[in-house]
Amino acid sequence: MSYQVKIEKFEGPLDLLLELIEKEKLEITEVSLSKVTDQFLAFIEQNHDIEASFLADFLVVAAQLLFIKSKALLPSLELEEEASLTVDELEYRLKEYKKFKEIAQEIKRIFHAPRYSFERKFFRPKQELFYPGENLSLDALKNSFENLIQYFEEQEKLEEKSIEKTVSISEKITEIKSFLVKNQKLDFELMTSETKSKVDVVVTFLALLELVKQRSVKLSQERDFGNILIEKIKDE
Amino acid sequence: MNKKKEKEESAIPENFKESLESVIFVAGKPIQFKKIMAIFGLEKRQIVEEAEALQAEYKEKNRGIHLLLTKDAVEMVTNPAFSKHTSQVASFELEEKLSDAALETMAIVAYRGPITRAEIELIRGVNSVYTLRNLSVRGLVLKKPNPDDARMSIYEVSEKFLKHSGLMHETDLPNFSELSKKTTFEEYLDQKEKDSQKQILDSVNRE
Repeated sequence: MSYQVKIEKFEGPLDLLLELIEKEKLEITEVSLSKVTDQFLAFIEQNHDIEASFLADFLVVAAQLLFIKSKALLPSLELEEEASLTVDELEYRLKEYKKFKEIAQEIKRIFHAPRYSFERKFFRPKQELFYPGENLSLDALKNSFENLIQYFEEQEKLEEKSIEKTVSISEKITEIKSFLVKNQKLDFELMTSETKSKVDVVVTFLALLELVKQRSVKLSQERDFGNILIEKIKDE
Repeated sequence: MNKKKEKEESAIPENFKESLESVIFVAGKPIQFKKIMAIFGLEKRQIVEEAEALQAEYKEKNRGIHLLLTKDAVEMVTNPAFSKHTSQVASFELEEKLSDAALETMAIVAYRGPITRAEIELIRGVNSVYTLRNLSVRGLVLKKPNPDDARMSIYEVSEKFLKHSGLMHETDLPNFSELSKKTTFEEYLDQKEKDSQKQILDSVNRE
């Protein structure tokens, strides 16, 4: 039953990626990862209702996929070792995730089957009252309360971080696309002239590579390290 | 000469199995191994072994009472085979179905617990705060302080999860020994390397 194409929400980016690979009947390899990149990005584009905190997780994986693809486009590019680990890492995580996704269905069957074990109930007191223990002190109360507050703070921090990290990537792709709807040409220096962040330039570049792969744009350059000219490819 | 074990284990008393059975019965709730250790003056290993023997005996004879074992405690519960009848006397309060996200997280905690939230999120690829909190509230996973790092908590399956699933031990989960093994990224890379070397060797040998 889990093999039907799910149109509903996916549990997460790995879930989506796994489903795309399995739908194509592919093994988890570098080649299959770059094959499903387009579909992965298309999914994010089409589903605007992905919750913000989840979207960030999707975009992290999208960035990794774009990276893998751009590596395939530029085979001569020398990569730092850390960067070349991305493929293996994604492969590894997908395989780990797959194990649990499959076994979760077993857990579902076992957990929801009418096979229960019960403990004896009669020892449970009828009324639950609060009796402060002898070791209750002001300090202990204070500590408990601080722990509780910490528990909530911990969550908020994490969300902020993951949103900040990735939202700009998908924005950039749409930005370039919408600009090219109105304009025929665009140049890279101009596009990145206003930004101060290096990451933004990298993201713009990756987004362009993606658009080249989709055959939406053509890039040209007069000399090495010169400005890059971006042209829209007309639909035939 | 072999040095003997650092701690000399006490001799097991006569009728240990039977008196252990009585102790577990009279506790009426999960009784901690620590407590049993104090009662009999034995090591944890000796107690767990005997409890497991008793558990196997109940199972073998398909007795109405079974023994539920966790890492820390042991408890008498009903045989899940008879839940058609027992559930007319007792029941679980919450009967809402678990979502796929909850099942996935539950599976990771069950096979890899005790496990930190960061490790769970690494496997799932998504923030799991809400799913974990939901499972904690339902009493299916336990949140405990991490003995290695006070800033983080660790999660493991609860007795309630085992009872609801009719399992007497977490090792009764399907394919437990294989899935509970943690493979680190480094180990995965090593294995991949070995596999590809083997493939090359195989293809050379074939020629």
